[in-house]
Amino acid sequence: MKTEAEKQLANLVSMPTISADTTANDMALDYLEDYFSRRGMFVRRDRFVKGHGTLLASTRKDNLYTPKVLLSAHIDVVPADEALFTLRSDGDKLIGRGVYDMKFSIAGYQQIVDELYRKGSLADYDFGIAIVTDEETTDRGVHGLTAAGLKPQVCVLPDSTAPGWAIETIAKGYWRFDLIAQGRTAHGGRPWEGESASFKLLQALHELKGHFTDQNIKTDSLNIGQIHGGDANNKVPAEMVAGLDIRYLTNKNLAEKKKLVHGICQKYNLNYREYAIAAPVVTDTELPLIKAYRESVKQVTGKQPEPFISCAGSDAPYFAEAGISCIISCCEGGGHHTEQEWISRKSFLQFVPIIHHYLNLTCKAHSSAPAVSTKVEKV
Amino acid sequence: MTNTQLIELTKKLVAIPSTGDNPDGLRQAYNFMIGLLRASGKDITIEEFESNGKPSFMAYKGGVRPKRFKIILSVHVDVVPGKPHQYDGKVKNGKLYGRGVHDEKAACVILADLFCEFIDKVPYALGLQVVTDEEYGGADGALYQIQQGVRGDFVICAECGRRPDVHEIANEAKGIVIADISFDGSAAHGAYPWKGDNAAPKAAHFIHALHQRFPSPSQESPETTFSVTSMSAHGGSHTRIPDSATVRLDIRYAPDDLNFEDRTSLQALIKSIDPNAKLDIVLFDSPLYCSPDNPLLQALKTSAEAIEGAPFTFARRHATSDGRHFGDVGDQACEFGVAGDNQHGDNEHITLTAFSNYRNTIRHFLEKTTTMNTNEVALQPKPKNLILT
Repeated sequence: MKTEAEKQLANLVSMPTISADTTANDMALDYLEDYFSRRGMFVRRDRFVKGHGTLLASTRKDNLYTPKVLLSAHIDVVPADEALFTLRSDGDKLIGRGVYDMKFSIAGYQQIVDELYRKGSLADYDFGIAIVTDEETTDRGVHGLTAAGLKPQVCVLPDSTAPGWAIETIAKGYWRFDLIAQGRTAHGGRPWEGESASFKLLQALHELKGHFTDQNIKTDSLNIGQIHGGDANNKVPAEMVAGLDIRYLTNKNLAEKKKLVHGICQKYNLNYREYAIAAPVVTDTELPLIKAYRESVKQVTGKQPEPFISCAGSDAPYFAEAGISCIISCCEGGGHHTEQEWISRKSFLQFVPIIHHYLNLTCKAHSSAPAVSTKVEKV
Repeated sequence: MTNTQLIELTKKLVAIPSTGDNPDGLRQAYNFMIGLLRASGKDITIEEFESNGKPSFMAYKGGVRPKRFKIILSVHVDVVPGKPHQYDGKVKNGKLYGRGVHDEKAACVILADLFCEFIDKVPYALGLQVVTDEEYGGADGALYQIQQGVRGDFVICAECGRRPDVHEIANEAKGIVIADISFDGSAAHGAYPWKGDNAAPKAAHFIHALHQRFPSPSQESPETTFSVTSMSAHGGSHTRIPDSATVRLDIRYAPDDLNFEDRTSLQALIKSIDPNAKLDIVLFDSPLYCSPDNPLLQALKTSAEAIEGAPFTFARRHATSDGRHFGDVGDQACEFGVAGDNQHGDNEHITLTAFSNYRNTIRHFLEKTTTMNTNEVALQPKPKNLILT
């Protein structure tokens, strides 16, 4: 027999909440607002970014913004073929767009609220739920919520690529920018009369790439995500642009990388235009509210969660900037952003018990777990 | 018409954005040229062609196209994309600025006018060829017409490439290769470069290596040159590893460069740099050639020297023209256009003196041909080493 979370996951996957489709995302938030309201949660909707809505729910009317524990997620997903918007299973795998990134968590939150409501104990807990709709694009939803005053003591953010239930102790920061080469056009047959933007850019990229060898999870990394320029067969292009993404472990590393990029820009007479930047997030797993989560995972799975260094971005830096600790950990899964996005059903079914246990430890009336602080690296 | 009137007509033609990606603009410019001929009131046949949507025409006297033209004046009305202000031609400090003034709308207007003036005077078959795809290879214009039987003993392509202080006629031009070099990879999340295979750095590495093999000259060079005219590597975002990258190259090869002897040798060159690079040849055209002994070429040289008062030399050009298509069928062509500067650049211009000199030179040349024995023009095939297999 399927659990409430499984049923809800199928519902959520069927909603084509691609980031750019704000109507689909609004409809999904309508659905969740109705679901949580009917079960005694207090719900608020906002729209901090043009088109992109947010939902904030709390067990208590008077503390929408300051619950002790915040369960957070984004409901938007990256584009996929229509077939991926129907949840399917293959052995232990549940497959569909967004199952891992990160609708499984919202389905889990729904089951928790449903269970507590049916037991009549929802009001005994001090937790909230935040759902945003723009994590895959602008990342501004969480920023809007924290700017409006959202300040829980800890945030559970199951948006991770770590192995099942491992806890991200370091989430790399990212620096996304465009490297822009400008030159002077000329006829392709008379290159000496111009200044080739393409040569400058490609030579610069060749040199920059040479500084990122043997990349792995424990190193900074470079991705050349896109290059475009040129508009005629026989014309030396005046501008060429590369979109780059550097993931870095510490702010010291970022400073080094900025110096490197700056030096290359000077050498080849290029410019760069910053697109997005987020600080690395360092989580101390010995802090009490984090330790409580580790205890809950061990209680349910029988295993102590491992520490994990993450390369992928999430909303954690925006919570961290507001001084909010995040527990970045999720069930077993993989293939995020691909046609084979999946989670392990067995692991998924552990999610609700883990969170339930954690809420009992941390935010049920009379629980006495102390507050935590997080080390946030300011960019 | 006066020079002033012709310059005003040139500005009107410049105002038409006849870029390769603008079929309406190409058609407008094409119709503009037909309008010039019609306005002359002369009995001129305009034989229209069209290939892949690209119009072109041959204009001549009489109802039937001659088997061979003695002289063809060949122009193109298409231009490379320019900035918006460049379509507003302006005269400043003795220069006419605008997209295409140098390459080669001023010559279009001048040659159309002279063609009308001489059509009834010359004792041989004179043709005016107008095409709309020279900047994109000429396959649907000059080459298509040749495939339909258009031939000429001596073709003057009004191609630019000459500065006002340079006194030369191009009787050779480098061969041209337009080719896409593509690289495969595999996509993954950009945060995990080791999980994918990024195609973009492969392209950068390739260009770096090619650049070492063929350094970019800082000044005019008769050697092989290459330009990266466009590049694309699309991961879709900064955070996705692109699984393919493509570089478009514009290569101008010296006639004696064995790397470009044929497609096989070009393939070998690419593979020697990156065995996994994929070569897609968009255009592989032979060099242009006209014998320096050709009497009509000599006559053109004499006219240019008479008008400009300076000795002219024959030269090898770096940019080729539609003349190479005639060369492939044994016809002889040269490049001689209005002198100017910054071809394809943001400050493309000609001097008004050059405008006048060009008009006077072609007029002088055509007048001379009315009395010379043009039958002495012998067909002289290109040297064998210039003919591509």
